[in-house]
Amino acid sequence: MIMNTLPTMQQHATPFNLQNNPVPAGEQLWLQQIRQNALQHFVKHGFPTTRQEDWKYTKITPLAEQVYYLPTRTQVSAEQIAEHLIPNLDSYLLVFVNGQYQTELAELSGLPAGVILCELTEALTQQPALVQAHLTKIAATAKHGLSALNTAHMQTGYFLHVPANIKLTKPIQLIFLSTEQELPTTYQLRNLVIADTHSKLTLIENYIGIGSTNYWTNTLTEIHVEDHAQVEHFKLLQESQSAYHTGTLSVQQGAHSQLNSHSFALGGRLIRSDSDIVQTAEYVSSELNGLYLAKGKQHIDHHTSIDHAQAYGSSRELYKGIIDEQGRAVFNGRVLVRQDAQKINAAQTNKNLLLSEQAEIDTKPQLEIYADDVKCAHGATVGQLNASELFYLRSRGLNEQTARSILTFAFANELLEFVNQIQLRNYLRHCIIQQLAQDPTILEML
Amino acid sequence: MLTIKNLHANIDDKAILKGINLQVNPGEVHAIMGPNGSGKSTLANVLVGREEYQITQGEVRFEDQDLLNMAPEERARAGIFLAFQYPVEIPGVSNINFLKAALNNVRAARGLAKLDAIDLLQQVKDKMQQVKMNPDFLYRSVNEGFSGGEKKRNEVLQMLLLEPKLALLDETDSGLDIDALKIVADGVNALRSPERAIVLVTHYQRLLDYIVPDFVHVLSGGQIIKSGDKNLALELEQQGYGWLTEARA
Ligand SMILES: Nc1ncnc2c1ncn2[C@@H]1O[C@H](COP(=O)(O)OP(=O)(O)O)[C@@H](O)[C@H]1O
Ligand SMILES: [Mg+2]
Repeated sequence: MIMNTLPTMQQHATPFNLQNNPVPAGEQLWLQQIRQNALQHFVKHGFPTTRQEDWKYTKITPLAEQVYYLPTRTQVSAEQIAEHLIPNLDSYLLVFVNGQYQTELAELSGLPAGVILCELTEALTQQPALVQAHLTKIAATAKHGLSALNTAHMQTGYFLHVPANIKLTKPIQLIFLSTEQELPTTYQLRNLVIADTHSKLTLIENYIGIGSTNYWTNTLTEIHVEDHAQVEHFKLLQESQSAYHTGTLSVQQGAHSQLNSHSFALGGRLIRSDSDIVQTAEYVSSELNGLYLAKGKQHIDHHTSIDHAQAYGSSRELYKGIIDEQGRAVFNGRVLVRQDAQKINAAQTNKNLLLSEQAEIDTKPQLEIYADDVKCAHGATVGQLNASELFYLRSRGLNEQTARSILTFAFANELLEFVNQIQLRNYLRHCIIQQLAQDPTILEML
Repeated sequence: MLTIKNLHANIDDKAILKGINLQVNPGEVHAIMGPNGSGKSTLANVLVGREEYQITQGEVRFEDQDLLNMAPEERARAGIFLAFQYPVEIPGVSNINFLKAALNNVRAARGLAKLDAIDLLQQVKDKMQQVKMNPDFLYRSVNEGFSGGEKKRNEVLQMLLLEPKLALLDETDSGLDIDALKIVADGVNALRSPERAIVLVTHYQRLLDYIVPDFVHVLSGGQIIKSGDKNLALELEQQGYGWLTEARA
């Protein structure tokens, strides 16, 4: 394994190897140190392998074997980006194209005073102390090689700081677009969010790939949710059908805070999405929702981890998958209730709809409970479309294909009910139906 | 309109229908009665194309078509409607969208234009008033969490909207209080016309007080063992099925 990864490690290591000076000019020493430590960790451990329990079903050897290149400068016009924005959504906006931040396309007007929303590298110069105090403070480098790799090689990403008591009424839209390119490219994206006490915000990360380029997005988003803060986070994966997406969301929550994170994994050759939530104080609420649609030869793996470290916390997870053709999906939901975390209420549900004989799902709850006064529920189902429901629809004149489309969409629709933003919900509905390649007339019906 | 000849049907290799013969003409109302488990629902489901049943013998013609070769949706579009004994719940599909889809599909089959959203909603609401259903039910998932009576009313609502040529009602009156029963009966009577036919499966004479049938049939052991006029239902009400089934045994 290590042998296999060597050539690509060189490829990744070269630009960022401190001795070789690939570090952005003038980067602070503390960050150089962090990169170097992470790089050492990666060089030592390499890419995760299927021998590791957490990677048992997801083989990323193609990533290790592929030679990837660093992003090159790409510029797109506002018109080109317009078609990728969520229609009619009034939002703040940052745009990244092929791993490059697009300064001119940012939309920040009306941002309340004190709120900082910018590219991470800009934050490093404008707010070095703030960044230093938070960057890599949640995401454990040691978790797996990909996080280490991201830390070592982080290229760009967004930074958001919402000071105490500020409640953003408009969502923040973050576009990560990949266009058709000549060479396989890798984007090592690093995002950092600080939601101070009693603040409130909504993030919509939208990863979009056009064309059939093989590229690899490796993201790490750290969110600090301080006491009483409320964060709503969306991650839309619409990567190209040849693309690899590995991403980790690392969240740390303070007392009485709330985090809702929604993953919509619709496009990508291989997706591995980790959500790691740590409830560091009492009365924390965390909700994770996910929808994954795997078809063709797509492989979509969601790993969640909720660490109830303190008492009176709650967590709720609902992940639903629709798997067709030779698609394959993995769900692993870890819930850790530590010894002192009494009165925890945790619920986890994973439901899967298999639409073909070859479709495959590996689902596993992973409960580790060390406290005695807790409520912990979990359930997983795997099934096909319900024959009685299909017949009922057909008996009212709907043809079989339409009936199937309606029921398939209805299965997915439960996750849209958690989306309060009407424009976002409409957009997602559209994307889901497109990805399911279902009878578009059902849109009029739903 | 509907001609059933020597119809035999199995489920899981068990014979349920054992030679049904029935002729239904436009304008007629037929009541099918009979003990539990005699095959009434099986007959109704076979007529709308439920796939669990295997037809082993016989023929069914609807107008000039071979009904048994038609897909369920083709039968619906041809004008056959079954109000199910146990309507299915469909989580995630709103009642209004379901009604919209059903109505537009059936209309298209009849060469009628799609209704625009406003006209459609108006039509649905009018019919809902007729069956005394609260418009809130439009925005709930189809039948999900509906009470037994609400599900039955939702079936009648669909029937009124789709205006079938042949309406089959499978115990739509069971479990209804007298007010709900009247609503169902009014719905059926509103549909009655010289071009339409209605087949009611029921256990109770009380429904037939409101919808007076032209013919009453007793189905037992997978066969129609007796047919008569409305007076047969009154006799059954008083004497049960024993005298008929014993006479045959
Ligand atoms: N899905 C099924 N699987 C197995 N047996 C069935 C099924 N549906 C009906 N039956 C059997 O077929 C017979 C007739 O049932 P049914 O047509 O529902 O009777 P009725 O409507 O007259 O009460 C009964 O013995 C019943 O148990
Ligand atoms: Mg029955």
